[in-house]
Amino acid sequence: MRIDKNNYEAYLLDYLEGSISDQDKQLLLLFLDEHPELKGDLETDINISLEPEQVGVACHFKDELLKHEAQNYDLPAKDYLFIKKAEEGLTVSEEAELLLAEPDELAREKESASYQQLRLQSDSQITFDDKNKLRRFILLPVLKQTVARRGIAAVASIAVILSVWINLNRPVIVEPTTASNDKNNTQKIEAPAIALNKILEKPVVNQTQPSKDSLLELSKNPMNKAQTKADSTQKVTITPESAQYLASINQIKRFESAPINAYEHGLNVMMPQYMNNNLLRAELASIYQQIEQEEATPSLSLALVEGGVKVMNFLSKESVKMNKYYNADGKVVGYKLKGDNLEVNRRVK
Amino acid sequence: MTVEEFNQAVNQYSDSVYRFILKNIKDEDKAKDIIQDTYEKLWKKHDEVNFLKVKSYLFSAAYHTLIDLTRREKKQAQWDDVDFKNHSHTDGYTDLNEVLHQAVERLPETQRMVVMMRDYEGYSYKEISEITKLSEAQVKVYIFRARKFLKEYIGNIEVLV
Repeated sequence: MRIDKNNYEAYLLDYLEGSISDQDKQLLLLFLDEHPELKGDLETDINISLEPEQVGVACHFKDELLKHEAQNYDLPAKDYLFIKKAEEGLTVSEEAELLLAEPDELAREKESASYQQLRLQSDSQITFDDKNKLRRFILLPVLKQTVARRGIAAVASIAVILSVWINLNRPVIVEPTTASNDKNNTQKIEAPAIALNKILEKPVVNQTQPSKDSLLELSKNPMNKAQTKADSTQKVTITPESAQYLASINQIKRFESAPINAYEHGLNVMMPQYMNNNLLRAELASIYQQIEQEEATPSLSLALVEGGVKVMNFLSKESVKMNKYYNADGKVVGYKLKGDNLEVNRRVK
Repeated sequence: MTVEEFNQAVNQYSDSVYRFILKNIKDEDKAKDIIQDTYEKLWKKHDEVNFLKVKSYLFSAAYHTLIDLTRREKKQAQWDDVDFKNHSHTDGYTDLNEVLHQAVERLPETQRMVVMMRDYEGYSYKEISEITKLSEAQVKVYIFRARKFLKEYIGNIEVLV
């Protein structure tokens, strides 16, 4: 490369530092001989350095710019280091920093120990007792809905078929027979027509309900049964066609009974009548009697209601009707008020 | 998570979650309601929640329920409002843990909860940040500030020890 005024300084600096090659050195000296005004540059002092004071000023600003990790926590550096030591441990540089921050070894250990003891301990005695409320259970699909429905349908079908079959093959029903204490009586039973006549001649219990007045009378004088008994029974006459029809009914047709004496016959006939007349009616009579007593001495609230109805009826010309409901003991359990535009049902407390 | 794992979660974690809630609100009935609610939330999502993460899920649900409750009741205190000097303790104590819990009750809500998670359950900063949805750095800041407050509250710890 040719040395000229634009690049001779680079060769000159290499020459001064002693790193120039021999070939370049010859070229540089030849160039300086051609330009003697530049020969003075060969005496340049290259050992020049900065003064140390200038570095000191830069360090002063650097300290002001440096930040500490503790500033993130708004904590003093010393506290930060102690807490960090207790929490997660310190690095070597942080240990050294702590050493500088707290030179007193005893004070350092004391402070460090106090932070170590700030760990909270949970109270293991506190437990949640209602765990069962939180647990869940699996419902296993033992029987699918479709299977269940088909099964139920099949069972129902079988039940219907069985019931029909049972009805068709029902065994012969044993007819009711009259009680007899004559075991040796083996006489052949009468012909059905004769037996039928006997049945038809039997007095039939009157199924109509006794009147309230008769029951009240009975409750007042239970021994007076004659009239009631007479009222309650009557002879029924049946036409031969009806009798034939009745005789054709299975139960009656197949009626077989041993002859009985008059006492047994009377007992069989009278016992139901007696029970009907004396026990059931006596019970009904006692209920009516209680109702009568209740009406005679009504409760205060009911009396007030009844009084109110009477007043209303007086004012409105009998426009309100009051019906009372009784329970099996004859006590009033409710009442019903019915007017032209009003109907009220109330229970008695 | 299967039903069996759910029930396992009840057996294993309900005590610690209940303790965490109770220590924060001091009301047994409310604590029971919150734990019921917490497990109800877990049950609704039990198909999605991994059993390995269930503890964190429970604490997270409980934490957020507590935060909501506190905000509703407007009891949350600010860190700046805490005056160390006013809370410093000078009376003599015999039980350090007792005093520590008194001090913890005076901490702001979030600080108290993260410290409890750290100390009671041994969670790392990262785990607490996942539970609370705070950044890890923020969790660390809360814990360090709480430690400082506890230290200041207790005062001269030598009296206690």
